[in-house]
Amino acid sequence: MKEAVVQEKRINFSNLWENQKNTVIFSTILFLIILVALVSLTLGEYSIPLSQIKDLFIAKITSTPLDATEQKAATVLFLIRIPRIILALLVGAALAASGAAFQGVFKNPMVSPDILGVAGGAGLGAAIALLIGLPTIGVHVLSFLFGIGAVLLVMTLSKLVGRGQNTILIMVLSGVVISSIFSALISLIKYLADANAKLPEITFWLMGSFARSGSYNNILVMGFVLLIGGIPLMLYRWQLNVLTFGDEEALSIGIDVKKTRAGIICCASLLTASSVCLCGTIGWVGLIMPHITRMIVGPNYKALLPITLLSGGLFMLIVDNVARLLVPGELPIGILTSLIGAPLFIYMLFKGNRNLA
Amino acid sequence: MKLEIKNLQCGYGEKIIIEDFSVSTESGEILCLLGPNGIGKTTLFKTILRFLPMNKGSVMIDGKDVTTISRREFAKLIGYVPQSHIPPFSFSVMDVVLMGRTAHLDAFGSPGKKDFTYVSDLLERLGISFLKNRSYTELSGGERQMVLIARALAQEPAFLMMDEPTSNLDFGNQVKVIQNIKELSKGGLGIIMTTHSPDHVFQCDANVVLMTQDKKYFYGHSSQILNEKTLTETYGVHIAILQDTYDQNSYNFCQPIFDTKI
Repeated sequence: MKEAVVQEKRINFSNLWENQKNTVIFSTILFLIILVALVSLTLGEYSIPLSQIKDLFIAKITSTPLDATEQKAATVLFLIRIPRIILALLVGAALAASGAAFQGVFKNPMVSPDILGVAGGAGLGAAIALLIGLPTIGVHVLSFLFGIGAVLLVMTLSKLVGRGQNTILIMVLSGVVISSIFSALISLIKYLADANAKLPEITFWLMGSFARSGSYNNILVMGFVLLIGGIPLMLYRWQLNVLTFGDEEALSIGIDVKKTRAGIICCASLLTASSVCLCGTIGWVGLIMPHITRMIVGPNYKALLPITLLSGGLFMLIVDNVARLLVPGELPIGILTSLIGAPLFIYMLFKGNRNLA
Repeated sequence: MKLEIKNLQCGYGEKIIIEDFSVSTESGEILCLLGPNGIGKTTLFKTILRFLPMNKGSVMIDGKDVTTISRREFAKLIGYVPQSHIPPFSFSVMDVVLMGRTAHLDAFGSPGKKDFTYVSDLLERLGISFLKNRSYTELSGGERQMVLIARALAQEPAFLMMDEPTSNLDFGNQVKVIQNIKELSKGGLGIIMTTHSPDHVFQCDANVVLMTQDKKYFYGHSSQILNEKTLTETYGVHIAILQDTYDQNSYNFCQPIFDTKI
């Protein structure tokens, strides 16, 4: 009896420690985000020191009139830098969460929104919408539909090819095939597009950039999408754990697999599609950020999903800063995430010798 | 509780594999499904567990048709112990067993303190609490099998369905798993398991369904069903049943006879 009491205390303690560890990691990343965001405010071709930023905020709140140079700084700060930073955080969070959810639902650590063709499909949908001149909401809807269509195609193809044995590599290869079809179709759109008006718009946007998307309107759109896509994922995160053991086991444990999976795929596709609509295809984030986070907090989605949201945002913010500062004029961020993501991924392949087939 | 399978017909689409199959089992009993490869044990299993639709017939628990209840409620009645495979992510043993609590959680809930305590006690009872913080993917086959049993038990089911619980285990681990199965059934759990070894059926002193060719089957207590004639007919090789005593206990076991023509 006495032993049982001791045992109970120890359990609660270890449980508490696990929770505390994750809380510490969560808070650390949150703190880093605030820190990096503050630094980001000062950085750029037009540099604004932190002290001036403070003054500008105070002036904004008290509606104090500004002189010409101050006015210029205020414009850069409030109309360009702040919205851009917030959007980078939101998009990074959305892409990383989307990747984590896809990896769980397909019980496959090698998939991501890009590999599953969601990003390519969403890109094609958005490109078509831009070509025919649809309004913003039309761009998002078409992009979402094409994104989800891409996942369904990849799922069907890998089912047919794998003949029931849905191995990790078959799904990845199916994704490569579907993505390549989509990228060919995107090239076709570019070929068809008006070289003066539409082509530069589509090309620049496809490379991925926050340069022109950082507006309060876009923040509202992305924030809204993050809520309607992210909240269900957060609610289903325990179920995601169970789904990684396969359909039959999840069914026997008491989960309605078809409904749950459909819901998670919809949410994850929405998050990716809207990110693509606003900032173009920014690759690799959805693959490597869930991986890195899993290395730190373990595979349990209870902690993995919220922490991936934060780490994805932090990563995107840092990379966007590099994109802004590295060369005058700035680099498309998609180029940078690929240059960082691909070698990181190769390193992770070496480290985690998983049984892939 | 009573689990009854009545006139079940199952298969994949047009292809019928099991026909007019009726057996029943109760809490505290062990029912073994025995038969050669490809005879339909797995199909039958998957149909009872509702992974595959039934063509005809019914599966009732205490008179209630299982197709009318939700997955969640079903999980509280029947626990499933699959053949162990290695999942893609390295969950801790604690997390894996906690997954068995899913049917007892709120729709969007995660396991709480009560579930942690329940699972810890369960692991203690099964003698595997030393595995608690280990990574599931790094366990040996025998350890993984015990963790999967624990996960199914965490569902607090009335019945346990085990798909070849001794496959891929060394001899010692096979004996340990059989020992555990016997104890669980003594504790009041109803167990349905498939096996490739008639000896396991004797060791469990179980009821048995011996599935033979042409969708036929023998059903009854092992002492009545498993004999030289039925086993030889089922497996197409000559098998004799021997009996011996040790410490005043009598044991039956199967012995293949090699140098006779059938």
